[in-house]
Amino acid sequence: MIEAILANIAKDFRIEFRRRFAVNVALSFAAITTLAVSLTAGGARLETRTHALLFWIIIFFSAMNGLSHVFTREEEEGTALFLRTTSPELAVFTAKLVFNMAVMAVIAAAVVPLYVFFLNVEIASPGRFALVACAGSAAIASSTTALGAIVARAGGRGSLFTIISFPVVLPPLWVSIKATQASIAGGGAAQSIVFLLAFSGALVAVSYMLFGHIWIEE
Amino acid sequence: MTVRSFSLDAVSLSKSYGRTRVFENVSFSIATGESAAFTGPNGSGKSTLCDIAAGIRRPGRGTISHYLNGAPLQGESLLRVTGLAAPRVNPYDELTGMENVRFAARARGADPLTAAPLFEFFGLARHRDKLLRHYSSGMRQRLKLILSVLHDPALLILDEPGANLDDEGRWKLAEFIELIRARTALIIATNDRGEAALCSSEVRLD
Amino acid sequence: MAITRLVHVFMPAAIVMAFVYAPAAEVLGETSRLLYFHVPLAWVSVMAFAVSGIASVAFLAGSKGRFPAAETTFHNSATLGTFSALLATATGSVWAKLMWGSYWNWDPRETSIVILLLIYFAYFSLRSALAGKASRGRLSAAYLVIAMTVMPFFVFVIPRVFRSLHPDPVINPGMKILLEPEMKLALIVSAAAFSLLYFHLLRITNRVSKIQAAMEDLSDE
Repeated sequence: MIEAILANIAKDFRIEFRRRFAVNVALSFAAITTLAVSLTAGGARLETRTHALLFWIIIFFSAMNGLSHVFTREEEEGTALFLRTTSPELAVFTAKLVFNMAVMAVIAAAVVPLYVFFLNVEIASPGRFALVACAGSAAIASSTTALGAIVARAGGRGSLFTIISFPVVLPPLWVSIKATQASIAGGGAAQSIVFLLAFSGALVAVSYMLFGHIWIEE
Repeated sequence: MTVRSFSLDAVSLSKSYGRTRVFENVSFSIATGESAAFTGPNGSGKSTLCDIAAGIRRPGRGTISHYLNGAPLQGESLLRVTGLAAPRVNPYDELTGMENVRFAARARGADPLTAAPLFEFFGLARHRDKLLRHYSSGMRQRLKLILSVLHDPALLILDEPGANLDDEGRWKLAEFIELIRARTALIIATNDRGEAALCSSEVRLD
Repeated sequence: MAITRLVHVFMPAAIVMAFVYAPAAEVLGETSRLLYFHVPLAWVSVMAFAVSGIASVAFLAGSKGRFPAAETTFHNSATLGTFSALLATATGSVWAKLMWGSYWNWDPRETSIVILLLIYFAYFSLRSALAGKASRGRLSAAYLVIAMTVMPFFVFVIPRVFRSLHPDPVINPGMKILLEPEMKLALIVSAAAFSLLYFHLLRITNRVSKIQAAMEDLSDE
């Protein structure tokens, strides 16, 4: 099983390195929205709350542009059946989850410096800020991977992914915004990080239980 | 090579998509050393029956059971002993032939080194490091055949195996089937009389 | 059927009690009569969501044919839940305008019902994207199960994000008015009436779905 998981991870990353589709789209979106926010703000000094809010809105929509791709690609290119005949569903889901975590890591790693650079945020506790960014991104990836599989089976329309993801992602989004605001101001964020990790854990567990039903061919 | 005895029993399978019936009350059984041809007009459900036999689709009604050396197979253990080559089973365009093979072998817990002689046999050795995107449809079909047999499956299901193959490819296919016949349960879905003649029994869908 | 008869008894009783039997509350005045419709509707929208969630778990967990009504149940329950959530929102915002001066205040309970509506709308968008596919039941059930998993997190988060204006438990601390026994009784009767109405409608819609399916079968042959 571990070998099957590793083979799937290697395959997903290799294809993405050749095409760079998911990451390119997500990163361009992140860069454009960050610039758009910065340009339209016109150098105005924003409140910490506004900063936290804008930061997470950018992350959320960038994620929505990148995360469903790993599943829709399989359906669009007709490789889903090949994958079904070669890999156990557990390996498929694990690889996709790891892949989406990596995409979120790339998005967060790009948005944080861009945002700090263009919007002149002074962060009182950078360590906590980074931790919250990681935990929040992980929560988004772990809660939407199974939804990406559902959307792929439904025909993979991009806006559908955002519509069905939004209510699910809302709790970690709120908590991340609060915690980011606190970390910019220099407050603590431990409780929020615990919440985000608990949320990720619960959603991953449920996704594993459901994935068999989502993945099987009718 | 180990001796193995595989058997598949399908009892009164039915399948419908939404409200369209594909087939009804199909029963067959097949064991190591035996072979069956699925024949029938377009839309009679040959491909669907192949998927069900391979365990990647559930029948609407009826039961299907796979046994290897007396033990029932399910999920991962079934994947490991089944090979399916079909028009809708597409390997990855962004990977080379060899990369696809390596992926399929690792995912099923098989040894990718067994693929080298297969590449030779099916005349793809020169193209194994080419991206699939640049393959012709005949080369693609040959690769699909390699991918379906590289883990030495106990149950081999070939859906329209001759599609896109030239004469040489068809001979190779027939030759290959003779090589593995004794230790494999073989299903071929086809409307080609020549291919159907490779099988010892026939399941007719209509 | 028993439920139908009970609806026929409880619903008129609830209406009469709401307008005649229960006294108007001291500060809220006659507007307090909205209570007997707003609260039961909100309750039904949450209950319908729970029924949807449980039915979708049963649908996914049960092998073929074990719960034949599960798919129609979770879908019809979601439909009824959406309507009651919309009605609860409408009655709530009318009341909010009268009490707090604006139709919308983003207090935790208003927020919760918006989220419930968001989930329902997401569910219906998914359903329509899956129209005609055999996998429709499984995929939409899977979505409802995921949405149900997220619910406890909302219960934890919302009170920390939005401050409450809502009466706690019924009338807010600022103007603490305890419900009089008559009001309590009217509220209980009304909640029972709306719950029964929900189950009654669920049974009817399930029967309609069943008949529709049978008719489509017939027209095929």
